Amino acid sequence: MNSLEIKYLFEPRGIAVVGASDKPGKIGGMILYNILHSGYRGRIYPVNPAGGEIGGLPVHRNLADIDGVIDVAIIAIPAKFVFPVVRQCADKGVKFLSVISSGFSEVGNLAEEQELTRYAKKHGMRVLGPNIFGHYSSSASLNATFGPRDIKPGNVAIITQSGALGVAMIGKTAIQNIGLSAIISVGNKADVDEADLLEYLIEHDETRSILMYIEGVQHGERLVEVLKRATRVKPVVVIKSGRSKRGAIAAASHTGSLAGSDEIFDAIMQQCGVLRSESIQEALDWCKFLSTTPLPTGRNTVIITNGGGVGVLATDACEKYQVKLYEDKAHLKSVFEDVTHGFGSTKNPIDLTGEATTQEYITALTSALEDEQIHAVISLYCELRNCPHDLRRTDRYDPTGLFGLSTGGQTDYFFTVRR
Amino acid sequence: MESPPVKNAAIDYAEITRIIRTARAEQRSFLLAHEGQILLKAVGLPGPRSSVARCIDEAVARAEEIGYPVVMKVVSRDILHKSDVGGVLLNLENKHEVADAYQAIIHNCKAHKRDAVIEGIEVVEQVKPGTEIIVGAKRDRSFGPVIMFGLGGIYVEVMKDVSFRALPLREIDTSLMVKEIRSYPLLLGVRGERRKDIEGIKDCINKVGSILLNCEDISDIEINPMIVYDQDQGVKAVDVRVLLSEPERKQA
Repeated sequence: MNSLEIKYLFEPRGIAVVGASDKPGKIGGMILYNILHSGYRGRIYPVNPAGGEIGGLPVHRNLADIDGVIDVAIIAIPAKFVFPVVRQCADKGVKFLSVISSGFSEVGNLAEEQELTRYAKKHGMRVLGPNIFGHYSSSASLNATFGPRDIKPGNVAIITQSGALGVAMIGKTAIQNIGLSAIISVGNKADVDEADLLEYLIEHDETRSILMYIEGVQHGERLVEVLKRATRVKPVVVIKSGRSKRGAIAAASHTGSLAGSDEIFDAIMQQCGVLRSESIQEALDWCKFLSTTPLPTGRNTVIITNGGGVGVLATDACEKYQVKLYEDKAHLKSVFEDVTHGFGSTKNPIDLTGEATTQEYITALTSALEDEQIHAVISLYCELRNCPHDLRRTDRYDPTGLFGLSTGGQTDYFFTVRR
Repeated sequence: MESPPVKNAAIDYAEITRIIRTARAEQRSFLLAHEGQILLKAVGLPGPRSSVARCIDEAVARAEEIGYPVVMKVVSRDILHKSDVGGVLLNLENKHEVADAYQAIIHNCKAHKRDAVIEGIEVVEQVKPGTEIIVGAKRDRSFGPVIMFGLGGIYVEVMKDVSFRALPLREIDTSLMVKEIRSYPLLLGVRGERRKDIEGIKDCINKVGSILLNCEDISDIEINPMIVYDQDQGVKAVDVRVLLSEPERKQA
């Protein structure tokens, strides 16, 4: 599938919601209200044999009654009723089926899922799902999920194989003030998979980092090819699910027994330039950071701190992760001597001491960011007085990387809302 | 800058196809030891020199050609576990020992199984000790052909110190998979030892990768152990294990 085609999933001109209902707790109704609430500007067609009106929109009894283009049909009805609707979608020239319904291969009903996918393919339709919570696209202001209503638009795209985890991630991103450019639940991956979606996200300007939660890979060779292209353009973070060696095939060779699915998955992700994270929180931290911070132009890094302890911790971490701390003492002195107090240090880490004022912090950061020898700055701040709100002024000094870390209630809050 | 893909190694695929056809005709899903040696030769990976002798004089002549020490092994379809019955003798240093070994092996085997048909005695170069590595490749259900590299012996058994990549490889992938194992410093030479033949290791990885990419009939291949000598001294594949793909899988 080319990116032009997949675009209709993310930026549809018209959407049908099959199973839209005003009855409380109905998934179709939750999705329809989320779409209405999110400010989607395309046409919305609720479909339900009962007819009537929902959210001010007339409800169509079937798809044939709809007069207009439908790029995406969201199907949120019991599994046994899905196939007849898919036929109607084919007649209507729908491009994407977002099959929310459960009750397919995940409960052993593989035959019906395959039949549905085959039929859809034959009629030029692609299938997202089944067994999904839907998808969100910032470019279309479209929240076609039954998850949280408010999703903050931003620059992180999430592709998830787990529905519940996906909904949980939406919640986490909201709390941590991480904006999303897209979130897609892929569920059983009967047809559309990560590689298809990456084709769009690679070219999607608003998406600056991509997070994927993957449990199993079907078309690995294609995924590898697309991931290699993706990571050349934007960072991709993968959360590997904690699969044990259970799935590894017992084999007659070391290559077989050592090549547990997890080891191979890890190695191949690394080969593709994908960052592997061990937890959701780590993955979100990385994505947030990578989508807001430019790539440093060189390796020389300077730590600026107002406390010795955090400076040492950061130094240890730099050594562990091979971050090069800039060591030219004479140059560092010339840059920082005006802002360091008697007990401070102009040796990296630069210790401004607890005496440092907001103005001194700003001067130190500004000097560091403007200096040509310094390519990245790790800014540490232990909350001693009031939070230095004015630090935000240093934001304009791209493209030198500024990595902030702070401790203390007010400061944490400040850094959270700032991003 | 993008690293270039690994060049396809000059491999005699016709020869490999021939031995696979034989194995298929015999309904085998694996290659026999001597077929494995033919495959190594077709790939251009050096293995131990060997030759089958049918009398004492021939055994001595072969040993003189190969150079001492040599190993001698019985060649017989009737004897499965050669070592257990005294059908394999090691560390044979000169022609007298070779002559004695020839008789001893025949005697041992006949004592074990009176009517055993003995086709001959294989005289094999006794590989000089060096650093053992393992290079394997297989078809992963999710990612297709993948390749593995590691240090052999305890490193692979206990430490599981191995690296993997999806095929095909770029040149940088081969370098990185050698460098990223934890025991890489051992290949660089520690405690006065010389640097090992890392180029030979990379060549082996690239060749094993080429085989799996180009021979659909092969599902698994593993060279274990492969002995690596000092820089420019080369490598030697001691044993190779080759499994064939399921025939229906190939058609799919």
